[in-house]
Amino acid sequence: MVKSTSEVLMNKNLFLSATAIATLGVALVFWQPWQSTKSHALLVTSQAPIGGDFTLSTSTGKSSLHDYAGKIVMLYFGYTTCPDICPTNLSNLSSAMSLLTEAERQQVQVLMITVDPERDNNEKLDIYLPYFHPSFKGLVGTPAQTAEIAARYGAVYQKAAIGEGALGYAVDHSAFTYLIDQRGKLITQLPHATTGEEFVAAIRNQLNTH
Amino acid sequence: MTLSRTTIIASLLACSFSAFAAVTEQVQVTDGFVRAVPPGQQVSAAFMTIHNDDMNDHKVVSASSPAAKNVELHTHTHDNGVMKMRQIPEINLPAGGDAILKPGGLHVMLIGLTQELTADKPVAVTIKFEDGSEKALSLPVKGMMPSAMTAH
Repeated sequence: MVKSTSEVLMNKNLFLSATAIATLGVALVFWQPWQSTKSHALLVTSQAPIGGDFTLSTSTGKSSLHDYAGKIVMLYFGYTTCPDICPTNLSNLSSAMSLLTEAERQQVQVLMITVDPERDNNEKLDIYLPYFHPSFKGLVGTPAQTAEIAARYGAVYQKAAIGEGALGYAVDHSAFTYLIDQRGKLITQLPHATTGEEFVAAIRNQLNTH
Repeated sequence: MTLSRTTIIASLLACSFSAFAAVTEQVQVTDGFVRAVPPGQQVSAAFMTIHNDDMNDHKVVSASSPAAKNVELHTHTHDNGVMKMRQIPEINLPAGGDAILKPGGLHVMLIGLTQELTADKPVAVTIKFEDGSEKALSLPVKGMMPSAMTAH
């Protein structure tokens, strides 16, 4: 069931993005199942990415999505040298954490998977993420693991040269935050620049439906 | 006849006086800030609103700062959910209008930070216009999460 669904999705994706994939350094699912309208009420349709469990490394060992069973996971794909987009979203998630009650906060975990595994490592993520909120955790995979997980969530990224600066390259990436329910099921994605209040509304909505 | 021509020339000169002024004198910068970043970060960005008082279009052609090894003009494009950052050669300042540099859009990118960005230490940023004139700015460092910052 799951396999056949993913095969159908893969065929569709390949068809839609044949030319794009040819130029992408990292060929991933180039398909947006949900339009990125600024709404927190976007529902998963039958065409939604499948999401699912993953296991990646943290500074204290391996960490899996299922380790957070019972909590809502807000999953973000970003990287630490991201100058603007990631800090905006992580700051808004941080605002959301401070707007939630303590009891609600205990039921939410923010995770960021780096889309720049070549430059990021657990040490960097451990400095970067707690800056936004002490509970935020960063995960690192191999390039292949990262690509596989991103494809399942419909996240896309690719390296992009940005001139001759010291940065070397940036990573173009989709900037959705994925809301995963207490049983590890992908529920919805929230677009770039979703505000703290909108994150809170989406989190409370999920807490209430659980 | 001669007199009226002189009058016309004189009034034209008066009207176009601004054309002789440096661009920096016709441009105002407001709401400028540099984004606070986590410790050890190599990059940050400066944001601001640049207002062009003049009746002619102008542009920012470069920026510099002692706070970073490289300072570049950048923009983001939002392409089907994917945020793409690109260096751009200039930022247009429409006649009588604003260029708004803000998160998710146009920004002055600071690459290779040479100083810690802390709230109590403003960052010097100089923007340069197409005529070579410059405007030196002193921008405050701001976090992106005021509610979280004050809560702690």
